[in-house]
Amino acid sequence: MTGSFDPSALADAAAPLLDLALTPESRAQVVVHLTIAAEQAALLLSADLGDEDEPAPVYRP
Amino acid sequence: MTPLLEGSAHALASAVRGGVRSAQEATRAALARIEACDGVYGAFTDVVAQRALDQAAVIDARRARGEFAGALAGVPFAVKNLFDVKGLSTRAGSRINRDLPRAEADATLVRRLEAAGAVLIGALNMGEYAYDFTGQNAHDGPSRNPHDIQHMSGGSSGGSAAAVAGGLVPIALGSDTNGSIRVPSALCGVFGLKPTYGRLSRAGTFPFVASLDHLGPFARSVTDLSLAFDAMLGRDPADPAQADAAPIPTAITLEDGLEGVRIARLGGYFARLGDACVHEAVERVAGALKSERTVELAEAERARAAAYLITMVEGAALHLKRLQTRAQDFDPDVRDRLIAGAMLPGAWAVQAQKFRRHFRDRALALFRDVDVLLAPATPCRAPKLGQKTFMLDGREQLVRPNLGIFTQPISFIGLPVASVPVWTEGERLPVGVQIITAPWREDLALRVARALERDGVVSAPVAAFG
Repeated sequence: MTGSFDPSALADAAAPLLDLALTPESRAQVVVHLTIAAEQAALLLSADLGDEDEPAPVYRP
Repeated sequence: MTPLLEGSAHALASAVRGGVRSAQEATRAALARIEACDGVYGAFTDVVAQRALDQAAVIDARRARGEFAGALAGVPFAVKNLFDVKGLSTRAGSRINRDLPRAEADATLVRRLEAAGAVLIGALNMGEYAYDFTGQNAHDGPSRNPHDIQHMSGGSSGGSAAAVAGGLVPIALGSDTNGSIRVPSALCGVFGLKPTYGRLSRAGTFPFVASLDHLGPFARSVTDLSLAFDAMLGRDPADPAQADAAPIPTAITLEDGLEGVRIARLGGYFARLGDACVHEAVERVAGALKSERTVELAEAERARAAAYLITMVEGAALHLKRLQTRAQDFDPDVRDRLIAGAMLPGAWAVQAQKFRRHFRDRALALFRDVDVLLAPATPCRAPKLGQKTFMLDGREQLVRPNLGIFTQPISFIGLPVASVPVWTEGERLPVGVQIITAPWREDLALRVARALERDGVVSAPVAAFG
């Protein structure tokens, strides 16, 4: 994750896209959870996975 | 309290089958205990007294006719309120779901326990939509830890653990997406079994994270846990996610002992974080099992991160319409995590699913050399009710998402786990240890738990009331 990630900007941009109305209290907590998620994602995205690695769920028709 | 409910479910069932006790007596005892204690414990949200008495009468009539009354004859049980119970709205801990039509049929696992002679007493409190490790509920109030009511029961199946620890019922069912059976089992000092992913039918239950949801039992003895699990085994065409795996009953091998079983503690991530008391508990269990080995499950912290993100994304997808139309009716702590989940990049969720297969392969490789893994269930004893933060890894962090740091990497890849309660003299509250085995080996996890119980290393006493 780059140091320029701005969780407030993401919350403000994504809320209308998702048709979600955020109160100020809710927005503040959403920003906290986006920040935590970004920390978790940084760890996940540093995994050494190849193009050929299949995701776990396999659909069977 | 009545001796009928002090003992184990299997002893009660035996007494009912033998005509020493009746199912109706046991049902009335459970109803009386709930009436006396549940105003304090907050475990139940619904009590189905008439249904229970009617079912108990059926069990007693069956016995009177000389028929087999079932492995769980007359045993009262209750289910987390995300299980469908005919005639009740499946609230899943929410306010919103109370507007749903009443369930027209019971969940598969409810039907299977009743087919074994058990008697459904009611539905149990839980964290809203199962997105919780605390056992607190914004609408119904908290379920409290019966061993110290100022402390959390754990979540999200808090009512299930509290009902069993408090002696209200000997068996309860819950769900576990990231630790919601194992965390409350640990905090309330009862036995819990999170089976292999895909093992037990999820039909007739309200979902949370389809990739990670499991159902399983709580009990105060390993034999009871085993009997409940065995009664629920079997294919169910109504659950498209259930695996096509051969059922392995556990009761017949429960007393087989541990000769030749290779047991190791998980080191690294599982030994580094958390309070000293949880690691001391693992050490005691390992010592009792004569295990001196420690092995590494590499990338466990990354697995936890991946489970965290899959939960956010899938949970958000499940609830998006409700977030758009009824945001004010959610528990704010749940709502805001779900909203954040809706905003996350799709690539993160796909990467998490790719990592899931990779991590599963790592774990399976480990099981070539070891049969059983031991790890703490939680990073601490039960926090106080209302506590928002605690110290973890040298910094203040939120309680709600972090009580499951040791359970999440394991359920992420669907391994079966028995959580066993460990007590320390002078401490009112227990800690839990996870007994983890390879996929489909619930029998071995329970066999280890039973050996520890037989040797007095782990136990689940009924909490003293008042």
